[in-house]
Amino acid sequence: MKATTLLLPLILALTMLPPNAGASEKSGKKLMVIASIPDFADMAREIGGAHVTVESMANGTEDVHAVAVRPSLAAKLARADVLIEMGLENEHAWLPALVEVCSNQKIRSGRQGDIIASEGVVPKDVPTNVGRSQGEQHPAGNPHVNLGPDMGRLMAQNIAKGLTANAPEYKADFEANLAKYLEKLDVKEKEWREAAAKLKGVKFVSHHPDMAYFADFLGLEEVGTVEPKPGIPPSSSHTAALIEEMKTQGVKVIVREPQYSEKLANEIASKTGAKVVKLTVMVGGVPEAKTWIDMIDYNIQAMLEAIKG
Amino acid sequence: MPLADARGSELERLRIIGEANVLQKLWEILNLDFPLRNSLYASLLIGAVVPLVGVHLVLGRRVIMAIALPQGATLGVALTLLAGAMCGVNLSDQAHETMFFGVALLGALLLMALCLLWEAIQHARFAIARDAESAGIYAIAAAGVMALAASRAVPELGMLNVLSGEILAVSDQNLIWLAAGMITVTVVLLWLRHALIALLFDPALMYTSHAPAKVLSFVNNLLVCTTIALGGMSAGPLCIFGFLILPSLVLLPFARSMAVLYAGASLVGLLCAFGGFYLSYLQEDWNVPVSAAQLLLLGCAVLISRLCATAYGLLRDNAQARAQTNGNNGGAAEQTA
Repeated sequence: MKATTLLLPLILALTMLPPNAGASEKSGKKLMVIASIPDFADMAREIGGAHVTVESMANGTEDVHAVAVRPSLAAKLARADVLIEMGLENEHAWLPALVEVCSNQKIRSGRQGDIIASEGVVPKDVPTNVGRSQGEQHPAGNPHVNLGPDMGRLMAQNIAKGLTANAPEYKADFEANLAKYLEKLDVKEKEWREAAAKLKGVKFVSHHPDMAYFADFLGLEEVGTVEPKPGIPPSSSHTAALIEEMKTQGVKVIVREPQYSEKLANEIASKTGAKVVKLTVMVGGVPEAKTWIDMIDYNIQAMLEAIKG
Repeated sequence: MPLADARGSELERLRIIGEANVLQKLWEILNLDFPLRNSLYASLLIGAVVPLVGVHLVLGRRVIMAIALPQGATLGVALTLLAGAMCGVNLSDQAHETMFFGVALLGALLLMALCLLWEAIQHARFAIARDAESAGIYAIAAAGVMALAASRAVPELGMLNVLSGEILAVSDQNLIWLAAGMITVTVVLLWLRHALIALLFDPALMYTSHAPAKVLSFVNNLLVCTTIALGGMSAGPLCIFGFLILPSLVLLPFARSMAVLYAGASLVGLLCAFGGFYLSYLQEDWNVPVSAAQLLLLGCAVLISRLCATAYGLLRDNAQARAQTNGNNGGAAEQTA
């Protein structure tokens, strides 16, 4: 008998399986959680514990607004029970298309499986004038909530609520894990507030306007961005004007995110005498930022180092 | 004051402000304290020298190679970054600037040498059209760069910005290397111009006349590759392709000698490089990147050159036709007499 004849029933049986059959058999009754960014993957692991299997779509060094859409990401989403995303249109350029093609009804927008980590936040920088001429705007406000050291509590609570809604049988475990995580956050937040006192009023420039929540917590003053408008590459006139503005205002720190040019930041620094400091915008952006708490620790320490002189 | 008069005076005021702004911006970029002076000088160097090399590619009918080589050079730089990342070295940071420049230049030259070698071998063995081979090389190199940029092999996405060229981020050291490289290319090109032109127009004669044709061919390729590698690392592959081809196209309908073609192409490149930089700086609201503004100006120059050439051709044809008619009429009159 030919090999194809032998394999045919097996192939038919495999194709008739529901999409999640393989996953649930392998991992028992674990929830398959897909997070848009590694920050939420870390929090989901902390809160979900042994009841969840977590994967992140972006890695820490990518541009969170422009993750390359790959077939493997659609396959991951097709298997997911829960999708955790930032919201505020943070992932609008790549995630909706993937959710559309993966044909997984559980994680569609508005369904129970779609967790919005930033739900309930008071957004910053809500534009009053929305239009293409203003660059790649986020009409609902600045979406980089994950960089706010005081936002951890809200995001963790939203994730715990979403996980509980999808697996009510583990409610007690999720609540216990959340309580433990919040305790850890309380201790850390105290440390971060102490550090904030040293950074209050420090003027800085970043490449993209992604440091709003971070700056607000620490009392930093953002003088401008290397991009003339969000998502628009720097032009000669804007760069020259920014250099002049930095000199006038005595800005001594340029924040560079790992996904943006180091060369341009260095060049601006050489003209202004400022110091370039690399801050990560996601967990995994630098080797030190293995968890969300590590990431905030790293970013604050890097700022403290930068102002030491 | 009547409304029309008020509007007229307001428009006049805006016109005066606009003119002042235009002159002020020009003064700003010409000032020695201009913060982006390195970018301006790098643009001018590229604008003046790259078209000189481009003349050889256009006359040698190797235009497709002119787009394939910058892409090959970009792949070379990308592979250098990848190799650095695999060895745990972030080549794009300031501490490794010298090392990166040297290694990236070598990587770019090596990849371009491979492209040229591949094209020559395929052409010699299978008699495949050179353009087809060059186009194939371009497609493969572009795919390689895209794959590397989209993959997560390079640890920091920001490192890949160097692949598209960062003309706004030319450091003092970069400018010195670029100037040294471009001046060397110009001197060698002008020194060997007669031999290189002979090789361009009659390679068979060069080979049969015991001239060091292979050496000259190697030097020619080295000049082309060095110019592309140096320029591409500052301004990006697309910009270099434009400066290689467009200035020669502007001059071709009019140039009657190689000297005119060299000088004219270099001058057009220089003017468009400056004009593009100035336009990009002046029109802040449009947010046109420097390279795009320069290439658009070059495109306008090509268009104007073609219109002038067509008008000149029509006038010449008319004059010839008139002269012929006059000649015929004169002949007929003589016959009648």
